[in-house]
Parts: sequence; C-alpha cells; structure tokens
Amino acid sequence: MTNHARRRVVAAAGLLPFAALAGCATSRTSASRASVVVVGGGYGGATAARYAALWGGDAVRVTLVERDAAFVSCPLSNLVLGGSKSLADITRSYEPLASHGVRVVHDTASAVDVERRRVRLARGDELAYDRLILSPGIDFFFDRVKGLESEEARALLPHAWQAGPQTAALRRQLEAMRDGGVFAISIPRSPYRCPPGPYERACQAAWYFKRAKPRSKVLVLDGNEEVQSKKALFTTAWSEDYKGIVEYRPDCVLTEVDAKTRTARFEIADDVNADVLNVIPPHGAGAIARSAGVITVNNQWCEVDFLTFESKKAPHIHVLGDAIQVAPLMPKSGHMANQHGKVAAAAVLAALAGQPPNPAPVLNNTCYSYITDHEAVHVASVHQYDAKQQTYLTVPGSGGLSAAKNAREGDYGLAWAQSIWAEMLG
Amino acid sequence: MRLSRMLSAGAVVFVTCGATFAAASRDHHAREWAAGCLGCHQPAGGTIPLLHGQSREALAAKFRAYRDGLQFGTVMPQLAKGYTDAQIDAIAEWFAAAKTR
Repeated sequence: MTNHARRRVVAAAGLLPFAALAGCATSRTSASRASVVVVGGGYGGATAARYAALWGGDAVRVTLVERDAAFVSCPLSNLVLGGSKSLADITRSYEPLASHGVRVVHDTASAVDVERRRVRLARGDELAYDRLILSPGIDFFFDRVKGLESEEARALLPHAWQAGPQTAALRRQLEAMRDGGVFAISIPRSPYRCPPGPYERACQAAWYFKRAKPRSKVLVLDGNEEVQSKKALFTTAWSEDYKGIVEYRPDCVLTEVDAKTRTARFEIADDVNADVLNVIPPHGAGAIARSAGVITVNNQWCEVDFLTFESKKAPHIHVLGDAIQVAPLMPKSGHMANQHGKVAAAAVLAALAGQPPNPAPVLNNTCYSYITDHEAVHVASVHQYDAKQQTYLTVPGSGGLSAAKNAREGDYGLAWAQSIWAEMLG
Repeated sequence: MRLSRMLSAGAVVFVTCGATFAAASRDHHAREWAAGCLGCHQPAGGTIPLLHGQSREALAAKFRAYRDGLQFGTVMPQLAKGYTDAQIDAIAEWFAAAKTR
C-alpha cells in the first residue's frame, strides 16, 4: 500500500483527525484506496466484508468473491431435510451488499499469488489486494473413504454438509424412502464442521419419519467415541421423543462405502446396509487455502494469530471460519465464523492504518439445534483472548446449555437466523 | 526562543494526537466488542430485543443482572458471565450512543 493510502485508512479510522489541517487531505480516488479482498461469502466472509466496508469507509475498497449466486444457510438446513422448512426459507440474496459498499464478484477464486498479492479467479481475472481474507469453508477428502472417489458414487450419497443442491438431493431421497427403511448418517472424526449438526439431523429425520413413515429408523454412525455436542439433550430426545426410531452407535470410523448397495464399512464396527446413506466425509479447509499455502495442521486446518486471524504462514492473508485450527473448546459454527469476521475486519483495518489490533478481543457462540420442528436447545460460550497463551480461552463459569428442549428457544433460533443473515448480507 | 516555541508547539500536537489515538482506540474496542452482540440483536431479530439507543445505565445494569443470576433468560445469563466489567461498560456505552450513529 502507498503511504498515501495508509494515511487515508488512518484518517478514516479516526486515528488522524488533523490530517486535513496538516495538509494531507487529497481526494479519495479508488486507485489510492487500500484493497481488501474477501474470498467466500458464508457466515465468516460476508461478515468480514460487510464490517471492513462499514468500518473502513471510503479508505478501503472491499471485494467479496463468492462462487454461488445466492447464500444458502447451513444452520437451519436440517429443518429442510425434515420438511418443516423449504430451501427458499434459508436462501438470501447477495445483492444488498453492494449498497453497503461491498463489491460482490460471483466467481471461484482458483489461486493465490502470495508474492504479488493477487487472487486469480476461475474466469481469468486477477484481483490485487493489500489484505486478503480467506473464509473458504470446507472441502471434502473424498479419497479417504474407499468407494467415494467417483462422482457417480457421490451423486448417490449426498453429504448435505454444504447447504443447497446437496440438501435438496438428500431430502428427495428421504421422501422417496419406503416406510420401514433405514436412514444412516456417518459422522467423521472431530474436529468437523458444526459439532451438533449430525445429531440435529438425526432428530429432524426422525421427526419426519414419525409422521410420514413411522416404521422407519435413523442410525447415527459416529466416527467418535461419544456424542460431540449437547450430548445429554440429544440422548434424551432419542430415548423419549424418538424412542424406537433413532439408534446411536459410537466408534464407527468409516473406511469404505458401496454406493450402489448403500453399504458402509468401518474400521471395527459391523457393516451397515441402509436405504438412504448420508456420508459426511472427512474434511478440511477449503481448496483456496491450499493454493495460498496457509494449511498448516495435519494437512487439514489453518493456524492463525488469534489477535488478527492473520495466517501463521503467509503475511497479509487472514483466515477465518471453519477452515482454521480452532482454539480450545471453540466450535466450528456459523455464529463463531461471524464472530471471527468482525475481529478480522477490525484487525485488517488496523494493520492497513499501521495501528496495533485490539489487544483484548472476545468471541461468543450461540448455537441452536432443533429437536422437533419448533422446539430447540442451545449451547453458548464466551471466548476471551489470553495474551499469555496467545489463544482464546472459555471463561470459567460462563456458557452452558438449555435445561431441556423448549418452544421459546425454537422461536429464538429462527430470530437468530433472521438477525445474523441481515447483519451479514444487509 | 523560536526553536523552543516550535518544539513546545510540536509537543502539544504530539500530546493531542496521542490522547486522540488512545480515545479512538478505546472507541474502536468498544464498537468491536459491541459488534459481538449484533449477530443476534438486529432489527430483523424479532423476539430478540434491540439494544441500540437504550440508556447506558439500564443496559449495564441488565447485563450485570444476567451475570449475577438476578435476571431470568436463556442464553444471556450464560453469556454475560464471560464478559469483564470494562467490556460491559464499554458495550453499554456504545449501544447507548448508537442511535445517533
């Protein structure tokens, strides 16, 4: 960035109020603005773009690169599988972002040139950046499950772990399933995107079966040794609301599938034959993170400086959301990605202005899971930055769970979605 | 004489800028902490109350009442326990002024 641009960021950030008096004022041409490029318009990236534009004002040009034409929420998408919500209910337009100062480019970021600070797009354009924010979500390791390598196999076994066409495909399979059939969900080892998500999915499928095909079963095949989130609340739901419908099996580490016969094979556990087989494959940071060289842990996740969310590997590149190597007890959730987005946006603007970041950021998480179509449970937590350990730590005594499923929190969950979508997208 | 006057003028400017910088940083920290609340507390949030424009005293008192177990709620009693007094005061102050921003 030129000194010129730096001064402008400083002035806009309110840190150099006398710049005009000192003769520093110049017209703000777009060429001299700092360029902030955000890749990925999900909960993390859209939020970061929106706040970079809001707080940066005309000192920055904010460009959001997003592959899809519209935003489809993963949170609430299990209600679409259960049939109580439609895809339209969880879909929002990116269009309002333009009126909030964010230029949205619908393309796929295919590569990052770290040296030249440029993002290459699939259609051939290049975007220059002063700071790059990657919020790439996840990509799947299809090669880690034998039988999932071909697209043909994957078409038969939708993961529905990215909302949209995958959600619709799995819903169609559930609708087509015979009464008395078995719907099996395979969960990868932690850490994975949305810890309570698979268990909520089991509840929503069971809610649907209970009404539409009551002799059917839901089989939860967990790659972990126990339920990873809201354990007591989900096990209560399965033994009370969905008694005789949901069966939970721990230690089911998936090794192989036969897509045609919908058979799942595991390291130790017995084979399972299902009528609808939902494999959530092992996954890690989205592909663009690999191109940028910011994946540092287990060939899977990206380590960041938690004060700024800047990559520990590549300068001027910030990474947020599900793609990062999380702090202790920090969930990979949409709400958490939204929180990352704000801290990262502030840190990026501070860096562009040559100022230190906020030394005491705090993140919160609130996550609702639906047990029925209208009753939900929550988990909440607060994560304060610890300067000594350079990570976020949950505050002792804070956070917690619902006592039991309730309709009031079912309302709050829907209100949360409307709120956070409005905050992200305008 | 002229030099010392210039130096002292420079010192004044320096001190002013320093003070402004500290104030601006505090202000920025407050808005960043407050932004942490805005995922839920939006006009679109319906049943979730809006915080903008409420009085600083009322907001801080309610935040502390949640923290201290004196106010019933679902997530807020659990979240409020995670915030420092300084953060609670800064967030309350930011929202109290937010109606005019």
